[in-house]
Amino acid sequence: MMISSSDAVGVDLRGVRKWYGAVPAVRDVSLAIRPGEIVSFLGPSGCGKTTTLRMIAGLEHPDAGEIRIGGGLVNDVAPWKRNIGMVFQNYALFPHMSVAENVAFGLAMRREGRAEIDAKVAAAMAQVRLTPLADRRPSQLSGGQRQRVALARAIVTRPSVLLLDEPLAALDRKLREQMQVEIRQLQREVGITTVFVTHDQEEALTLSDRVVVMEAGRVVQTGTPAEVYERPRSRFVSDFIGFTNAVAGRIEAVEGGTATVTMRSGQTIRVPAEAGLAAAQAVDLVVRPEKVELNPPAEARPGRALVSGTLRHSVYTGAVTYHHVDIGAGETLIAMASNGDGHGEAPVLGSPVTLGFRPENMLVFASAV
Amino acid sequence: MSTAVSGSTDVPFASAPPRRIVHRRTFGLGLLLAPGLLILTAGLLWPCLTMLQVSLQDRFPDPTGYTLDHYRAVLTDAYYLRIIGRTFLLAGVVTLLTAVLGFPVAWYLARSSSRRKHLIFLGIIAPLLVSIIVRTLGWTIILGNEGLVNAILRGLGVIDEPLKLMQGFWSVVLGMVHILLPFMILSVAAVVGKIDRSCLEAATVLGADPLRRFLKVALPLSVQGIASGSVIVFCLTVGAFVTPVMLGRGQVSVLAVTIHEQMVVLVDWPTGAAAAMILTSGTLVVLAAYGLFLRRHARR
Ligand SMILES: Nc1ncnc2c1ncn2[C@@H]1O[C@H](COP(=O)(O)OP(=O)(O)OP(=O)(O)O)[C@@H](O)[C@H]1O
Ligand SMILES: [Mg+2]
Repeated sequence: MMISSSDAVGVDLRGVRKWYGAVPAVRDVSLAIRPGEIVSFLGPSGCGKTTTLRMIAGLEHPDAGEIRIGGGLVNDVAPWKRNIGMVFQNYALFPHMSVAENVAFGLAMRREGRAEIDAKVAAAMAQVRLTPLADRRPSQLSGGQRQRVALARAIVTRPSVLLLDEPLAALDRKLREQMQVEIRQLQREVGITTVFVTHDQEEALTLSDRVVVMEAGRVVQTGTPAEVYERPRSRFVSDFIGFTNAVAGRIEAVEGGTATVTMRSGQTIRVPAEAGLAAAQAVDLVVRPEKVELNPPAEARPGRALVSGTLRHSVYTGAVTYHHVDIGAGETLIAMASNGDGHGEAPVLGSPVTLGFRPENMLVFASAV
Repeated sequence: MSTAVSGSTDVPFASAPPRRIVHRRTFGLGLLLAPGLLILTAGLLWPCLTMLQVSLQDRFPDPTGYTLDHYRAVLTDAYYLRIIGRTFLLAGVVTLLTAVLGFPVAWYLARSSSRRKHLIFLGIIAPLLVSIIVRTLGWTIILGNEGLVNAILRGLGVIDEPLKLMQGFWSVVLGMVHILLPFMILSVAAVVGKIDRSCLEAATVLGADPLRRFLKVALPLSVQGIASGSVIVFCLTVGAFVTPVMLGRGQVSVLAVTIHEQMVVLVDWPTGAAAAMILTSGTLVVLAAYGLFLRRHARR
């Protein structure tokens, strides 16, 4: 069952496009997936994740661009010759076959011997803990069990690439988290190059080596989970991954890599300036709630940029509390406070507070207008 | 097996609904089923039993006792046996041909997103609105000695004498296939339309080329439709009367026609009834064997 990672192959997409009639499903996707890597496609509904996956599998033919698997161009290689494992969103198990027959299907198609098939099927079923269910029909399984059959069926053939299209979407939260861990473990064990489609950002962050964020048929950012979370390259990415604060501002001046930005309320902060920003430009200021500290008025740790406001309400969620602070001109910033060290002295609602954050944690994006 | 999953199969609906409700429900159900069952019984069981009775009577009318002689007469008569064989052969061939010809059409009809498929659907349904006699006449016009095919071939100078297209077994097969194809197509389409597309795609990705995908996945998943279509086509062919008479030009005797002659022309009701019972039970045996065969082979 083991595949050493040296067997793993990379997947290269170059300028791949796909139109359905007049609908552009994938406009331009270029991406290099390294051997053995687990990459997730993340993006809103209809952004082309499934279509891209289907093109890698060969179920759709790209209108333009190149798809390479292990260096070889596969654009015109039939899907049944690509040696790919795929888990469909609805699992797509064969209803007329038992669990064991489902898992054996790919091996039978490769014309392996009966004894060999039996051994491999048994191993794969043990790996996903399905052995007692071998003779059941898919209709007699729970969602999580079906998902594991689909997974076993996809990996038993030792595919060069494993494609998973939202395989966990139909499961409840607890089972989903359990399956995430299992998929990750299995992927590590088998060392298969894996592409995982999801529109659950948390799933993408926990499961992948790299996250590919897509929007309207394009890749808008590729990076490690930390990169796309901490340094989103656009407002879209920052909004799509994690929870963000955003307030409007205008650049007063840019000097020596520092921009001075005035918020609508008239308060001014100084933040590191990204290239391409210029004076008088309208911008969005974006900061994660957990990077914002809530302090008593006019107090802050050294090196923090400050914004003052009034505490409007606090939302207690167990591990953390979200403090909503009115910073003037109808704009709100949210500060997240950990409830780890006892309860802290939450300020009284309506009282003035000062928000502090490291300037580099405030992201500045040109406004979309 | 994970513990989180295993609980989900048992728990719900642990207690049965109260008894009174069950009774009322059964009563309501009975009321709904009664008219249909009544018609089926009156239209099927009663004539069948009457036939059975007549076939066992030594004379008709005014029987004096019961006997198996009529069955013996039919089953030892070479003429009858040939007709029985031909009837079932005809039904088998027609069923096979409608299945083979109908499957691709049904597949297209059920699975294509093309807008043309509505036209095709109409084309399949429309003939059902025209009487069998008219459609059979249509074939005689096409295939007859002075018919369309011969006229064209003669016009083209391909032949001098008209081809004898209008006789024999195969012209009856042609007519029956034409008449019964819609039943096969609609039965298959009803099942094929429910096949999950991703199942076929999963087979492809797992390494099945189109032929093996068809044999291992598409066909087994269509079996229910082919089976119900086959039952309909087989039964209708076995009992067919008009088409064998008209297209066979009296040279292709089938059991239904012979039974009719036996009873109406020769006025020998008991022998005719015995032949009818043999036809019916033969059909049931064939269908049962077919059902067993399918059940065995739908598994793989
Ligand atoms: N068979 C098809 N025919 C026409 N348009 C299609 C087809 N499949 C997808 N599309 C369109 O292509 C675009 C991309 O679809 P795709 O299925 O790749 O999205 P996705 O990112 O997987 O979305 P989701 O998260 O909802 O699954 C969508 O606008 C969709 O409507
Ligand atoms: Mg999708």
